[in-house]
Amino acid sequence: MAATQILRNLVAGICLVSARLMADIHPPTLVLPRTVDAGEQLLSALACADCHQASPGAQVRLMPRTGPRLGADGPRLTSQFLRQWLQNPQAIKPGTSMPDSLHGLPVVERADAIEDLTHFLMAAQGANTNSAVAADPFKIAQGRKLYHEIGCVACHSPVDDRDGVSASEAARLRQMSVPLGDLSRKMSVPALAQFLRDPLKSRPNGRMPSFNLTPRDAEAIAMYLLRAQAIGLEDPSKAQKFPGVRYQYFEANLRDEADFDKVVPTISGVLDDFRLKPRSREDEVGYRFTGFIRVTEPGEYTLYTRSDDGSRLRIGSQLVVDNWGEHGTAEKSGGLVLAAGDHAFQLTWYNGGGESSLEVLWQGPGIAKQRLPKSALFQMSAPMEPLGGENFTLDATRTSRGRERFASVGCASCHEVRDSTGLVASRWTGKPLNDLKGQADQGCLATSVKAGLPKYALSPEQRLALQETLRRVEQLSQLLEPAQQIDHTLARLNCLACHSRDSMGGPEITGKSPWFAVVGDADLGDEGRIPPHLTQVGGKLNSNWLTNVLQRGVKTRPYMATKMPVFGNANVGALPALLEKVDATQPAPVDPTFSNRDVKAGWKLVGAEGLSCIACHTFGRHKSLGIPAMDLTQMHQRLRSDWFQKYLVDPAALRPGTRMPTFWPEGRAVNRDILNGETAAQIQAIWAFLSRGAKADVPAGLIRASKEIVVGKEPVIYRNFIEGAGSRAIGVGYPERTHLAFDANDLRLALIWQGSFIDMARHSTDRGVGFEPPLGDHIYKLPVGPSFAVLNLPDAPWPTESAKAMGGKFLGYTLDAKRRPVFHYRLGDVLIEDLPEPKAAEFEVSLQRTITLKGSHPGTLYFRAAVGDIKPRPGGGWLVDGEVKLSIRGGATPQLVGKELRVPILFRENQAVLIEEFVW
Amino acid sequence: MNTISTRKHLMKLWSAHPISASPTTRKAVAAVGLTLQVALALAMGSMATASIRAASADDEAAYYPMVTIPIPQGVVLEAGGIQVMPDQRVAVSTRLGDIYLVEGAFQNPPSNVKFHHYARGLHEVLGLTTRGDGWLYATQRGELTRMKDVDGDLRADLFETVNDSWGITGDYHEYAFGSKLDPDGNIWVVLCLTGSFSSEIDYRGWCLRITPEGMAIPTCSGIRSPGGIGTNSLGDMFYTDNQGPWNGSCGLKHLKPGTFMGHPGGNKWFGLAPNLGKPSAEPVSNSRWHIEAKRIPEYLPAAVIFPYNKMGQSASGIATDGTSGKFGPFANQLFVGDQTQSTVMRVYLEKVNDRYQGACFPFREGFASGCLSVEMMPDGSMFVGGTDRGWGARGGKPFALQRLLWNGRVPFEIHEMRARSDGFELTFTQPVDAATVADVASYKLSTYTYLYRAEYGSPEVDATKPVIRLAVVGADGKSVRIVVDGLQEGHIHELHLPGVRSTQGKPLLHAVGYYTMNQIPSGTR
Repeated sequence: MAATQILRNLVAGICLVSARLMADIHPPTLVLPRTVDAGEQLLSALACADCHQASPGAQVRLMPRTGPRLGADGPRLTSQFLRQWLQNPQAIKPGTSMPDSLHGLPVVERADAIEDLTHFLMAAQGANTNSAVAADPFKIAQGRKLYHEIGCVACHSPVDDRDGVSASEAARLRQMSVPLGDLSRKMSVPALAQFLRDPLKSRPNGRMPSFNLTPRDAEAIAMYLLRAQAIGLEDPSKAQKFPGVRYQYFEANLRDEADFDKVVPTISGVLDDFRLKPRSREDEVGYRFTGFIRVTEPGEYTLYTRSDDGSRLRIGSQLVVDNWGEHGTAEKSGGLVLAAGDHAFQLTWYNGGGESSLEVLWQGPGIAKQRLPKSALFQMSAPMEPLGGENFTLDATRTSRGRERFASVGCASCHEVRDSTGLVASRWTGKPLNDLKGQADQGCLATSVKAGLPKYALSPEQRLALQETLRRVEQLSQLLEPAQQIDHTLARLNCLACHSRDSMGGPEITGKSPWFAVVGDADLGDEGRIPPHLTQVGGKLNSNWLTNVLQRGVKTRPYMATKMPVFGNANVGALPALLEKVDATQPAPVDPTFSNRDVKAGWKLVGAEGLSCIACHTFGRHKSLGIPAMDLTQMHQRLRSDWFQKYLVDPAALRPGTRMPTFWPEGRAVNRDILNGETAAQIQAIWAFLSRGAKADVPAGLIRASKEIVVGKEPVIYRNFIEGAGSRAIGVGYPERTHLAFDANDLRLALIWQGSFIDMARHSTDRGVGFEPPLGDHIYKLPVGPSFAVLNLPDAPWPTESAKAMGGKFLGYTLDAKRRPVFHYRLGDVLIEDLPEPKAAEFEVSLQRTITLKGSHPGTLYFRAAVGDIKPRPGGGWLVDGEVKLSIRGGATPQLVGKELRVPILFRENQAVLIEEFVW
Repeated sequence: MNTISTRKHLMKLWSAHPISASPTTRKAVAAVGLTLQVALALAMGSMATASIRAASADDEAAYYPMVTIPIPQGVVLEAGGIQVMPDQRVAVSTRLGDIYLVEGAFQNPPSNVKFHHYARGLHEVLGLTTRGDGWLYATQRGELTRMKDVDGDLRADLFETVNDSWGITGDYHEYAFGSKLDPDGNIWVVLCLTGSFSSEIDYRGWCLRITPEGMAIPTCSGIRSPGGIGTNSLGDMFYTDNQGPWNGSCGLKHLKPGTFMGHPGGNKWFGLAPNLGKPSAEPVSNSRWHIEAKRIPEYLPAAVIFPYNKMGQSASGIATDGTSGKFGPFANQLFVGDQTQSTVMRVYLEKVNDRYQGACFPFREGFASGCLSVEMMPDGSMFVGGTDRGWGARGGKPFALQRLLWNGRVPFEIHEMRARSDGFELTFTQPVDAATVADVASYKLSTYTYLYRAEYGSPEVDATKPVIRLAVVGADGKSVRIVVDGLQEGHIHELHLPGVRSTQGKPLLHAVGYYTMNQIPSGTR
């Protein structure tokens, strides 16, 4: 490799060896295109032309990168940070391009200058927003995920490891990442969140792009980046009172409030009120909220909960509202006298299944019955605030002296600061850029930089690159070719950290590929996680769409975790036209007027009766039948028709490794039925259909209609994933319109219901994902866990292990003359035949189950008939949960043990018969 | 191989790519001023130079015509398993859990075909076989079941669970594919992982073989996502595994008992398999399979890789031609379906240092749906069942059952492709023209491999261009020895034969072969 190439790589950031010393400036770009000169890139990145006046031509090429705006338009910084930073920028943020401009001053004067500048900048910032916020472990975890997934680590250093990345490779990647420095003293969570929401406001050069973050996501990332501030998380004594409530979210069966203490919360954190989010499912979930209710007016108060299912509110140790139990939205209340002040509370809520809600209301002196307002809710949390906090009092003299220095030292050349008197103008200038030609080893580039000049932490290689470029500085005035302009922009904005173009760049080259992830489990391979290549992108995308993407960050690949950020019109506005000029071989073709016949043929081709594009592609708001490939209704808006035509014939030629198959291999149509199998006509028809965009008619086969299995004269078996009956469920639909599901994993009758049997649409479309519940009503769920167990004592706890673990084995079923299944299974040496038979009567539906057991076993075998609220019925039998009438014949007398109904089984000559009947 | 050289190869890969090069094409396009037809013509023209598969379905049909079996209205025949019964009815199982007995399936034309609804409501049956004793064995997601029609009404009424040693969580990805009987009467079951990466319940990512007595023997670990399973002519069991984590491209893998197939996601179940001893060592991500195979003795890389996009995208069912010539010149070779491309590929296997490796070739395209089950019948016809549900397929029909026949005409094809220490030996199905076959300019050879890595799939990497020094026509006039400088261990060797002609002056029907060189044979000739 030529020496110049090694140099280019070093300056560009592809460190073949770890050559960058900690004190050197971080390379301004991760991947340097071949046409971009490393020295020129540095001149641009260090904003040399901010001090050294450049010719108008060079000014355009270098696009001097100004430092961040400071003051009111900049990020809110702390005084303790500013002071330390000005003392030695490289020590705080190794790799920073901020020079030391005070290095020549005597120690005392230097300290004085730093103090003046700090006062000036603090004054320019205005009111302090560096306030403490409550540390929230959940938000920190969320921020960590976002930081590693949305694209931050394409430029910045990943913190979390990824499989297959060695420690030495990880260290290399850290070193070649854009440094963040120690942020913990620098900013507060709100200040950093504010910066992250609109980085272009304080850094208009676009090198820190905007990800269009929501306030919530920005706060989460800020909390993660400032996690060192959350020192109180492990130490309750550091807790402070903040607005909001603390929550714990549980995923478990929580019908008994004591169960809350038996399970570990899935998520804990802080919310501003009793919102039932975050929540990843609907059934068997619970929340426990704690905090303080602030009372300003003492007196008699009534508190209410309105919930579905149950809730309980305690104030202090007193149970005030008891709204427990499974029910639809129901309101309960309780009264008490409250003194002025903060009152600790605990609110528990759970949902067994179905719909859910929670509201808390109050009524008191001067307060009509209303929702408990957020303003009355407080909680104790560990505070997060910038470390090294100090009481800072502005000194007017220092402030005005600082303003002077800011102008005279040259800070104002790079940093815009606007204060009450307007923009601070720099009074510091260097020699014009063209005059540096013969002096490339002097001034800021001298080995020993003189006092008064900014001192950059350049590596020897970087200094050499700058000197080489300055030797032919007049060339910088020449206008760049469009292709070079593109390369310059891609380099300046680090586009090549995520995208490859013409064999340059992309995550595979930078080594960050393992951090590019797919959302959820979308089965899309690398296409699902690596941002698309940009080779000839100007010949692929319409320039309008490119503008859209660059200026608004439109997301067309919802499955890709990395987001396309926004770089600002000033920085990328010229790119769409340049890309079109360089990449496209002709102007974008204009569509002819499409006939209705074309559109209709296209509709047919896209749908299930044609090529079934919808098997993989999303269509507007309709999910595809398989993987979530890109939305078809956006294709026409995005793509040029000439690219589309070439792509359909040979997708892998334009996107190597794509999962998109061709339906015209070698240009010959696979489908011979539509449009006589003519390739050009078929592709034109699809394009015509797609030109309808969001107005296009939904292709056939996309909308999943219900597919109820209607039971005819014979019973119907349906083995599949049935909700409530497990992954090896055997559903049986009977002509009597009474149905059941047997769980072949746990060897138990799991569900019985009436009416309609089941909808098989879920399992017969797409990939058949998920569990399907019964379709009918009167659904009774039988006890979860083994149905039979050998117990030493009648009231011994019922075992919880699986039937399989207890020696159970499913043997199959036989269909009797009426084609009703008889289930066969084995428990140890006992063989069991289980015959359910629906009995249809005019008004009452019942199911009779005959269980025949053969064999022998040690000890007493019990059958657990029911679990729940069980009451004996007058005249015999039992009532379960107030709904199901149950009778059992054949065994010994059933025993009620707690909430369980157990039947000891009586064997005679190694045989026993139990007859169980359900009426419900 | 370190990452830097990988990157270099990536760059090479890209720059060799038509879109980043080809200024001539660009100019040509610019000069013409496009109409839609011209654009297409150009797109196809530029492809033709890099063409892999010159033959169309019509060309192939001149030797292997296809019969489409009519499916009655209301029957959704997403065929996952096919088994001919002693009475010549063909049992076909479906993803929706039905089993039909198809009567008259061997008719040509199929004018009087009847479907009997033998069983319904089973759980995604991807494997059917019989011992000829009245029982039909079906591999469901959660168990191996056998069933029988006791009362003779062509409907099964006895369903016995033969084995259910493995678990299912309810994740759709947890498929189970069942084999035919092996020489010992066992049925082998390959179990898809829970999703692409992990195994959440017993034996997911494993192969079990179920004895005639219903016992499960843990047999192989390291499985990702099978698409089919079947034996070769010697009774050795193979399955197809699909592109994804630890599978850079789809491949055909030999289920040699005690070996590890490459995906470590299921290694946690070694505790359930004391017969296999200690878990095999974890592979290193971003390595190459031939390197890891030297490090991990139990690891058996794919015998044949199906290069992604070029050959297929979702390898599926496996059938071996054991009909001694009734299906044409490819006796004892393997045929493997591809679901995405609706094709059947052909595989020639040989053993090098006691491990299988070999070549794959295009064979037949143009099936109506995504090929899933592939079954060779004793009469020398091949049944292919298809589905495109959940995974799109080129064929375009939601499901299909088709039968491929050989009409007695012999296509001019590569017959076998064997590795030699210094090149290859190829045999052909017809006598060859000595002049073109002996000309090294008749061939184009390139090599590449895929990353063996935890991430999903892989680009082609480490590309090389070996030089063909010599091509010598065999004494039989139907073979050639190709001497090559620069064979690459662990690489796919992609050999195009655009110049080769038969004595009748015909080009090859499919002028390409992809040889997976896991090991370069030692020895001289």
